[in-house]
Amino acid sequence: MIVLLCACIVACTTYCGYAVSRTYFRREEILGEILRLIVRLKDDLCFFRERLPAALLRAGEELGTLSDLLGAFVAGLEGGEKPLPNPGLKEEEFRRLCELLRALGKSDAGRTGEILARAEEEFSRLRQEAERERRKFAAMYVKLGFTAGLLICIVLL
Amino acid sequence: MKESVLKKILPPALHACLQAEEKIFEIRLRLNCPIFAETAQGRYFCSPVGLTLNRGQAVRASREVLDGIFLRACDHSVHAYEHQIREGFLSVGEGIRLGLCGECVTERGRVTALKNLNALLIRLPHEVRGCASFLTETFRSGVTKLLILSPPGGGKTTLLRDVARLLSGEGKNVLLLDERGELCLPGTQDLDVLKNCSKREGFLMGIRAMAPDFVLCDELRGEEDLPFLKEAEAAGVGVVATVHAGGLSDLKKKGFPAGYFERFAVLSSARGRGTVEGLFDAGSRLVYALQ
Repeated sequence: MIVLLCACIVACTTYCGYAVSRTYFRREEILGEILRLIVRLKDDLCFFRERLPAALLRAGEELGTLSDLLGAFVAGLEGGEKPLPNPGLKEEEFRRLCELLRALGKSDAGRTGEILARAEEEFSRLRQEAERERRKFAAMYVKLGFTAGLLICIVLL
Repeated sequence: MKESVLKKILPPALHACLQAEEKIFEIRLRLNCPIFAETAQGRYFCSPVGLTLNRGQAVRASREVLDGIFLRACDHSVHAYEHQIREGFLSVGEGIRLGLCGECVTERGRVTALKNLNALLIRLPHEVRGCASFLTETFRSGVTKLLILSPPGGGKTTLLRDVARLLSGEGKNVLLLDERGELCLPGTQDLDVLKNCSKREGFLMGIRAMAPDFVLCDELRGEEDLPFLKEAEAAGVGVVATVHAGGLSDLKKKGFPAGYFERFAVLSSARGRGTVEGLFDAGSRLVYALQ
């Protein structure tokens, strides 16, 4: 019975550690999708001169994790600005993403291209940072969860 | 249909104010000035309770209102309309045209962009069926080159639209060069329409590709359009065009060669928009006058 209880405690704390580590993977994944969105928008807006709402909605359909955010942004364009849902980015990263979205569609193709190129550089840097953090912390949190579970078991025993 | 476009681009309060009036020709918004609409009954100001003659009650156009209308009109996509914006207008759809006024950004003497908008003019198209019927006999008699002239707001485009309908009804192949997307209204049939295409491209492409009997286009500018007119003449294609001019005497100043056009329809706003002052021949002799 005690062994079973200890196993449960360790499993729970390990899972908590795993959940925390997942946020690092998710953040890296979202930043990767933002980069794909930027590359796509460069073509759609600057070359094909497509309209912003249509380009964003279509990109949202393909980039699953950003679909809610892009959908809400487009709805805000048409019916007054509303708070956008954070897909799982740090506050500063999310603020920069919102700024980028708000800057689009307000200037000619050349300037839009410049804005997107700058954003691409910035989000590439953020993604590299996120990758470094994920390597550093993701495995650590799983181990930490497991160790915390063992510690609790030892204290209880 | 026109309603849905206006609903999309105008702030809800302004749209609600204009809804009661059916025949609006244009809506003018100038920064920090009263917003007004030109209607069939004259000029009315937009107020919170509807259209009014009292200027004091009128709502003023703020920077946010101007920018909001502009961004909604170009579907939040300035990059998709930059060639139109450089020319000072936006084609919104359903023949509605948004005239833009602000600070021009220039590069090597050419306008590359417009910023800090300070005035907007929303022009709403109208179809007056039968307004070109006085030209029926003219075309039947073999006239192929007609110039419609009037000052801005004189009804040139409305007459040109009806000429297109008239010629098409006479069994002619009509090519409509709709440079600003405002000539061809939804539901117009039996016409070949080249939309958002410059006159240079339109004349060349259209004549070669569509073999029209007549090419119809809006707002000739003068000497710069002459090569295209000559191209049409050489190809044996008729031309019906419009030009901003107060009268026949203004045509020389614009550089139109005497003898190219066979007939001139002169319009004015003397007795309301689209008043036909007369139809003149190449020798400036009156061949038709409104009874």
